[in-house]
Amino acid sequence: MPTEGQKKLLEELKNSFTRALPEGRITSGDYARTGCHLEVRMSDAGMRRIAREMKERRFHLETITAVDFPDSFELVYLYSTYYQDFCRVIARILISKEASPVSVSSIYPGACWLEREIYDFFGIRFTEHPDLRRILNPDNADYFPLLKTFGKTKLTEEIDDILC
Amino acid sequence: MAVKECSPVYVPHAERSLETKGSPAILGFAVLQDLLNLARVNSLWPMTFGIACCSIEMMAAGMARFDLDRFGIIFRSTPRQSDVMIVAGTISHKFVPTIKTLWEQMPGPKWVIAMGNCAISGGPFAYEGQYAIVNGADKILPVDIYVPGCPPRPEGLIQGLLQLQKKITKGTIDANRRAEKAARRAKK
Amino acid sequence: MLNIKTIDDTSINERVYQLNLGPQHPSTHGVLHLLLKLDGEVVISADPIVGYSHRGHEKMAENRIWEQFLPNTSRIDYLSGLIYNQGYCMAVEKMCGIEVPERAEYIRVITSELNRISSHLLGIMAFVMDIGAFTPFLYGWDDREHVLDILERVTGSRLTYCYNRFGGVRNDIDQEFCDGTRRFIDRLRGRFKDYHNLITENIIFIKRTRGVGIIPEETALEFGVTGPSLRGSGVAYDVRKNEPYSVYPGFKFEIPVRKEGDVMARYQVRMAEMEQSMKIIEQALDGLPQGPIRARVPRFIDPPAGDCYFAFESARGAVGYYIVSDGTRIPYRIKVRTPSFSNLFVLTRILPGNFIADTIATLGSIDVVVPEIDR
Repeated sequence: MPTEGQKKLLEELKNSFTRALPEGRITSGDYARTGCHLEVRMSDAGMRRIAREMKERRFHLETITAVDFPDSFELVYLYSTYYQDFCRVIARILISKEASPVSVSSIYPGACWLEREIYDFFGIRFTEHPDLRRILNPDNADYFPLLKTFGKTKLTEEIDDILC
Repeated sequence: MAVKECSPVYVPHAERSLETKGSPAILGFAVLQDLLNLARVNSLWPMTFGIACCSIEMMAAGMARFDLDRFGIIFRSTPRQSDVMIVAGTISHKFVPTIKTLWEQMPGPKWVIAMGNCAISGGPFAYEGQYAIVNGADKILPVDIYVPGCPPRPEGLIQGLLQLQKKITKGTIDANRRAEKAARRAKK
Repeated sequence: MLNIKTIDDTSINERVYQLNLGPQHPSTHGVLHLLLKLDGEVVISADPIVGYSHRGHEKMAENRIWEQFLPNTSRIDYLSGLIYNQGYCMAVEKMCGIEVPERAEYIRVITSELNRISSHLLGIMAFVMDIGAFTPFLYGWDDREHVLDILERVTGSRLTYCYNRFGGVRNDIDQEFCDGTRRFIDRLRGRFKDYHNLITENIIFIKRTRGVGIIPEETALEFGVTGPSLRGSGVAYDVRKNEPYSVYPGFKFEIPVRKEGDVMARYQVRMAEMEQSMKIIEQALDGLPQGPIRARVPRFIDPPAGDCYFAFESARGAVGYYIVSDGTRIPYRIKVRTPSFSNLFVLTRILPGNFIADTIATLGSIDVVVPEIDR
């Protein structure tokens, strides 16, 4: 059950996001089913504005990840708070396959490695990143493993789901 | 997909045999080699080279309950002072040059034990679309003993090391035969 | 500890020495490679190189059905295998809306807390051995063997468990399990006195750990540090309390917090956490309800399309599973947020300016498990 403090925090966040991101869609999340209290949907930009807002409110960046859809990538930023009145914000940013999103590592230094991992797995190059190089795969690898066009995936061939 | 510039360091077993038993002229030398093998076998020093989950069971085998020290097995951190390389864990493509360097740094005679399913054949991570791992240590090293399990119990690793003793001494030191004899004596 | 705020790299270029700590090193807790630039004994910069244990878990998840990913989960962090198992099952249950019977929840909590104790024993004792104390290492592993015996009776494995299933657990626990656990808890409580004598009040340990490797709270917030590394810096954040899951709200336990943020503080937090875990286990054993241990779930589940993020607390910090489903039996994307990934990155900020011996102490106290970083 959301407490008074949580409801107030959510209201404040909703208002400030609606002000800062006029082109985005901000909705309350269904915590019981998705684990997030607030969902922000944007396209192409806005990750820095969201990050600045979150940093001001003392949220920490839990993780950044990407999902490969057939005609776009979706960057997912998850923020949550250490302190009382727990709240989790998920920001989904749709970018095109050739886009170069801007890095948030000037606001959250911890994003440096998370974005390196996304570059390593998906080939998404981040601009204004202090040190964009591969992190988990060998340095001379010529593939981006988590793309749906690489290797054996649902989109490239029929996966026999019983025998796998 | 593989790391391109490294060639496999595969040394066929025939080249590595330590003595030729059949030659009469060097019979005395063969006896000396047997004595040396006996000494080597009773103080096998592995390198602390745990990669992943199996390394925990390797450490447990060296701890108080299973105690490898009673066999003369002491873990050495540096490859320059070790005899055995226990490959415990999954080998990824990024790690292959390091393993080869460590193997080349070990002075002979040296042996390899592939511990765990990942080091034998890629283990639970081997599937048709796998891009990240080498399917088994024997693709890059000459493996002497395979210890299966995911992870193998510490007793399994001890059995593997005792089997290595049997292999080095060509059957003279055989812990299993000794145990059977002792059991038969106890029954009588 | 030297206070080197401004280092003009060009002026001491000929004195800068590059040292490879790892990937094969007795104190790197796995295949971690730290590229250190040193000026004598003082660290100028530290760059961790990871990826030597990369096994492709996330790509494997897209080639397996939901149930087949269960064994992978306990191999991501093999020291908290049961906790990761439980977390994955709870994430999928959350998305599908499956209700787990209460007895199964209690069993999950008991086994996970036992796993947490065994992981802390290993983590603390390995760190203490890096500093040079060999005796507590052997004592701690002996206690750990007792925990593994208890868990092996019911789960069948010692290290990489696959005990949780969607909807509950695989086997039921019996009276002997409960008695054995209670006996073990009494035994471990008696052993704490030995540990405090050997380690905590040892003047060498105090000199090597007090004031060393301090993580300020602001740095922790910027890097997303969680777990005992965060609680040693004064922030009382534990997913079991801040974002409760399973039956944890029904248990009375505290979150140990220390203000100093140094290596000694993190060690004390871990020791205190073991005591709290024992309290949780005792309360769970006292209140264990009867009933089924597994809900009726279809053999192959089809979660509805959508995504879900589930966070839980492992021995190292806050873990999260972000799962994306497209309605079929095969996941679309599974991302595992592991605490060691963020915790290790903090080292690039706090190591420069300290001696190399402090590097070893700090690295041990962060308690990283490298396959968790590499997945």
